[in-house]
Amino acid sequence: MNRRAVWAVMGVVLVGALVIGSPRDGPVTDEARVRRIGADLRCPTCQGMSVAASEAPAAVGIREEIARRVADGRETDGQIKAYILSLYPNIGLRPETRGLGLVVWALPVLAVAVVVGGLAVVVRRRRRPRAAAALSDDDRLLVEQALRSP
Amino acid sequence: MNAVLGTAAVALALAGSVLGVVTLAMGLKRGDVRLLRVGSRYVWVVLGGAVVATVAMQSALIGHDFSVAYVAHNGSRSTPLLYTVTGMWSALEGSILLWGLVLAGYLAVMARHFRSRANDPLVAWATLTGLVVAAFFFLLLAGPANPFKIIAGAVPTDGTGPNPLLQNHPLVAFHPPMLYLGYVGFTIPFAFAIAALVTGRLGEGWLVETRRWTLFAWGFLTVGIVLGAWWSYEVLGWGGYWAWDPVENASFLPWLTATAYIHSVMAQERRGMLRVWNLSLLVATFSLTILGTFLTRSGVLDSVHAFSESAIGPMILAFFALTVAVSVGLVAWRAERLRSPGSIDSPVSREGAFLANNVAFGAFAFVVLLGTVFPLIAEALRGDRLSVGGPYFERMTMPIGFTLLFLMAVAPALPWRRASTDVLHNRLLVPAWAGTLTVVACVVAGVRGFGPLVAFGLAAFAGAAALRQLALSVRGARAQGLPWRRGLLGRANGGMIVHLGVVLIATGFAASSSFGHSHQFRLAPGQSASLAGHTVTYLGSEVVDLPNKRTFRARVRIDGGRVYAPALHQFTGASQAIGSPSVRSGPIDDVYLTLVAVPDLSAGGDASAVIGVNIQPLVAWLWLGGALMGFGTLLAAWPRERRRQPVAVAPAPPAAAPETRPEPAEVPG
Repeated sequence: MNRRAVWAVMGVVLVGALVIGSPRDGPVTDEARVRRIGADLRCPTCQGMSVAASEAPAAVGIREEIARRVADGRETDGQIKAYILSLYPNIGLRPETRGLGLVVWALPVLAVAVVVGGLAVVVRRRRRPRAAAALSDDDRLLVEQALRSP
Repeated sequence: MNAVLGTAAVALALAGSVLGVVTLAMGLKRGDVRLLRVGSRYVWVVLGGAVVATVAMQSALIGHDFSVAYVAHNGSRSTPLLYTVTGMWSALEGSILLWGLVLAGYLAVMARHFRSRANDPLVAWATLTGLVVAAFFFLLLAGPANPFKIIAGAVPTDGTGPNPLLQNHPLVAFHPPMLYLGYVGFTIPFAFAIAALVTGRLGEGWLVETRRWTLFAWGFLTVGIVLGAWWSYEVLGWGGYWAWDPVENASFLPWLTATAYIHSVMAQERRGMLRVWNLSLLVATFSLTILGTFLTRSGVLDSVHAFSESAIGPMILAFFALTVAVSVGLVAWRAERLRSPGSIDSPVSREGAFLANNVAFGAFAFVVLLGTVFPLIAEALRGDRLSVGGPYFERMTMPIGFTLLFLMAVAPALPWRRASTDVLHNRLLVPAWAGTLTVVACVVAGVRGFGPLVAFGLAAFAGAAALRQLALSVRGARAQGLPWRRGLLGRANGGMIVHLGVVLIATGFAASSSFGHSHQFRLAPGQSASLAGHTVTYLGSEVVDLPNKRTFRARVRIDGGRVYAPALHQFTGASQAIGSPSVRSGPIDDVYLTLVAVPDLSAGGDASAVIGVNIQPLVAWLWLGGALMGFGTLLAAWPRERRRQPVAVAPAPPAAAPETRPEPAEVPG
């Protein structure tokens, strides 16, 4: 088999496996929903722990409220989260994607785009054949010293 | 007595640092070799002061000298000896003292290592820089972070003891010292970077001098971070090991820039590329350790680790600003000499991969830094506190993590300068199949989810690439008649072992964060519950009274086997009870038990207890991976003869390897 064919087969196998394997199986349980909503909220009384992870009374209380609303089944995850955030502003762990919060999402993406773009330009420019640069006196001195040293 | 001795010792170390700086500066100015030799000897004065101060602190802690405020707040008569000793790094002042001790130790080892070259301006400038840093930390200890302050008012008969979380697991004796050995270790390469900039000796010589120092500091930091995650898992009781807490981020940031440096420095040694960038990475690594100290020790951010607010914040911030300003100024001043002689020929090459690696690590560090300080920025701009937490970091760093795994798989196979398709095909085919077949096997075994499947596939790809390199190296050693073990020594091979450790950690991280199960069960004695194929049986509880705490301990049998004992501790003098989980670790999964609510043990009370059961796959791989990374670092730093012959796997460029050539002396200015 020629080389390209080998890699093509590998690509097909890989993509096929990922297509079959990507969808998560089974319906989402209420418990998983509670955990997912709780993971996006900071426990108001503890330091650096989410509502889903903490056993502090405040976190347990919020978890129970979320569980009640999930069991009720009338609201989406986003609506439940918005409701909790209306009670406790500033406990969202996932910054909003508008206003000031957008900066924290967009800035790294922009920075990487600029750096990668800049590097691509530099690499392309450097790869063009250049006329041999004239040697400076510094260079000659350096070579001389290097040759003299043992 | 202890306080007097300690205060005097700190003053001695401070005086030694300042006198050393002055002597070296005068010696450098006058070109007086005798002064340079004398100046470098002041590191021993600093070390002496730091050791005596530490002895004084330990003697105060162990002897329960509650006239020292620090001991009254962080020690108690009922605290066990181990946690009395570790009390030295249980709060702000003592942890700065530990920092000072480690720094003094590093400076002394450096002075001894370079003792025959004490008259070399490069070494003198590096020593001077190190002593300036030492002077700063001993100034903190003499002033705002004085650990030997006498308690106001009457001397109490007993102290409050350390924070309950810090007297709950022996790992607290290892995690902070390891971390500090890492943090502080970067002072040495930073000092040499500054010395190279000042003296103008910007060739590759200073890199070679500091290579092993950087590697050791990096290894300690790596092990320290992994031990911290382990401590978090074993002590905090929430079943996780990494919460993107500001202090965790503060330790992770210098690790990211240092890891970028360890890779890109090879592009400079081999190809003379990226000189300014490498200097910047070293400066960034050191500055980030200082910034991390500021963020976490000044009370500006909420964190599990944040100690009480104190006045040292502005001083640390000023030192950080000074470090950055001096470094940027020096780099700008030397910009002309820093132009790299080498350049990149093709992006598909080893140096191209290192460049991509650096972009990825840079982006990683940027995301972590931005997410950590953004709440502060938002507060300043908008007045209200905005929190940036786990969900943000996970979303942003996942694609970067995948990029890094991919590079880790491809880069070892890429030759320097440029790669032909022949070479790529021959070297990557087997590892790529390993990755692909791993994805297939996972799907067949029922693993679902795009993220984890990609992670497992890339991890297998990278792991196979590293194993391939090691196999070639071992075969090469055998062919030369050397024992096979020699094929594992040296930077490239040790690096591949480190890569295998990273592969284990990536796999464990992806599996445990994607496929965990947790549930809380209220169980009466004798009752069982099942979760994710495991059965837990609650047998009963008992109360144990110790001098420093009252412990409720539940006995829980896992899968009909051994009995585990999750507990809740009520420490004397603490309001909230602290849980201590009990974990059955295994190669496949961990069963993690917590006691959430204790039974009423009085007659007629409700004898049932609430047991939290948390089952996560492959958690043990994280700790194994951390150990492998530490071991690989040791192999990478192992001294051996340098090969002058080009290696078959990575053909050397026509330019002679610069690291073997002594550098011409240059005059500053």
